[in-house]
Amino acid sequence: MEFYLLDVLLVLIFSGIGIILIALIFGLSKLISTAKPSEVKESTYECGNVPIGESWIQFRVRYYIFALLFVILDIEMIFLFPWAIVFQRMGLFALIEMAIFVGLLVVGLVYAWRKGALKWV
Amino acid sequence: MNFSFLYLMGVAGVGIFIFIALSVLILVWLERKVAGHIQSRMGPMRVGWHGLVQTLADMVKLISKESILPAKADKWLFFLAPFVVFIPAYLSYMVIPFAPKLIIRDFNIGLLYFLAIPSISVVGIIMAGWGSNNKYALLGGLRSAAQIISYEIPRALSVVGVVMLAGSMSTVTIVKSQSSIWFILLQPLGFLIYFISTLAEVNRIPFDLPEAESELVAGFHTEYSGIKWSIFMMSEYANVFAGCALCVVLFLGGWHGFLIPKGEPWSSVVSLIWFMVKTLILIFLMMWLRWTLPRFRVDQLMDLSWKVFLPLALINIGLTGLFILGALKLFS
Amino acid sequence: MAEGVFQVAFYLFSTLIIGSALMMVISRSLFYNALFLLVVLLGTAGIYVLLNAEFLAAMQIFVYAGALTVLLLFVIMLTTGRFKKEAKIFHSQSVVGFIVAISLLFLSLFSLNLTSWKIVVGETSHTLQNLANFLFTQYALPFEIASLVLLVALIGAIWLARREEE
Repeated sequence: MEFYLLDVLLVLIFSGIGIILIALIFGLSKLISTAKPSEVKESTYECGNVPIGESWIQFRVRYYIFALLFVILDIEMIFLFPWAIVFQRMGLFALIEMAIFVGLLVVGLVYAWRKGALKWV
Repeated sequence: MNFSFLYLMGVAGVGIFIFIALSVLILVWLERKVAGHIQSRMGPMRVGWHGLVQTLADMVKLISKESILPAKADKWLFFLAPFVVFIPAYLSYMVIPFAPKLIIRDFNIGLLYFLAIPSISVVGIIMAGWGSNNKYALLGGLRSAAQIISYEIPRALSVVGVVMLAGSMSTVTIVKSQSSIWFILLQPLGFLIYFISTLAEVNRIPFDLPEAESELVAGFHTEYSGIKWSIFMMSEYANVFAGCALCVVLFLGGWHGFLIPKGEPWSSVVSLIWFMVKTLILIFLMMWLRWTLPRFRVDQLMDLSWKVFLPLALINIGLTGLFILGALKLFS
Repeated sequence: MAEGVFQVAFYLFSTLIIGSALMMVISRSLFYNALFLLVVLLGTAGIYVLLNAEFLAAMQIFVYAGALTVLLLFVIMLTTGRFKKEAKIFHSQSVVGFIVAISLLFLSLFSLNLTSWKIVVGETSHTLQNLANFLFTQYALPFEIASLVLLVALIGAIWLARREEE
């Protein structure tokens, strides 16, 4: 039990240290930097032009499709890691098992490819 | 498990931070020098020997510069984004074994931890893009996120072969199992996919579309200036180093090398030097590529990930499986 | 000592999860909602590690904190441009939502109470190896079915997204 408790504790400690150190640097910068805010300086940067319209515009659905594919393949990928660990002990059986698992998803991927879902434009 | 241990860990945490800061200073200098010499220039020459302390001077400048908060920006997102981008990069150093026993924590699932952590910094990048309320920043952030998630899958798949060979996900065990043969010889395809995907994950040329200067100004950090901007730069270089270091751990034998004395007090120093040299060679390769190759188009980038690397990585896993089965048959 | 630290870590994560979950419901910006959800998911990963389920924690970060949050953020970025609305806390569906939420809460409490929890004593390290051994021998069939479920999800997603695009 100690083992994993330490793991999570360490990640917590390190995150804390990282946040504190960055905050310290920000504080230092705040102390020694000059600040003369002006309206022009704070305006949205668009190479000197006055921005037209909202910047929170609507995006292409494309991004969404790739994110969806990513979620599904992420789940598939995560199964490969425990499998890889026990592979040497289990041998051929494990290989066939995983071939079926991945094979089914490859069918999906081929479908996506054929339907043009992997095409960017 | 007592307070002296926690104290030690605190020191280690600050130490890693200082290491990152120092390595970033050196890498930025190296990048400018490499860029200069590839283009028949000298690069920085004025401050210090061959401009060695130029980046230090730049750092002082960046800290003392004004940090502008755009009027239209979302204050909280704008402020928090550098943290969310930097902390994962910093945390990933915990599982890098620099030399025997020179590692913060040898997690049981160290490799998985290393691969999982960057996905949080994607959120930071989107936060920066959205929080800036700027069209360039938003587009850059979105592109960056799409690119990182697209290459995360081939990258993770390419290391499965290594895990199969080593039978473990602990980074230390992976290095130890390469004492006789480096995995690059058994996994050349895996190495190639891993290295190129890492290039894409850290947004470097030829995959630097998220901050393509000619179209997006500077991508997700267009509105950032001063110290906040430099935190983004720092995380980028920290990620470059960590990515190359893990590449060394996985494929290039980690701290193993020739001429390492056995049992001497300085033998781990020699191991550390080996590790650093290998990592620096990979980083130099990245810089070399940066000044050699043109930038990809978005559709080419996506095609490379989904239509080339993904199938190749899957084939690599299958081949590795057959190879291991064959080897087991042969030696049993 | 270890027990005390365990307690502290547990309560820290619990507070984090409950606090962010509350903030997620209260906050009116969709973008912030997704970010608070991320904190909830990361806190859950911490709880998993405390339960010695390190692989589950890594999975949680990979799939939920990484992939799902990005997907959510993409969806929010895709839609806010079109709808330009802030999330309202009270609206016409509040009553229905409240009833569903309360009944779900009682249902889960009820089932928690009914389940007889086994306390595992003994070796709990190497959970990953054990998990893998079980997953690929005893539970091989559910594992393959999971692939089928993923395939259906993939095809469904592409079909829906394509219709959306046209």
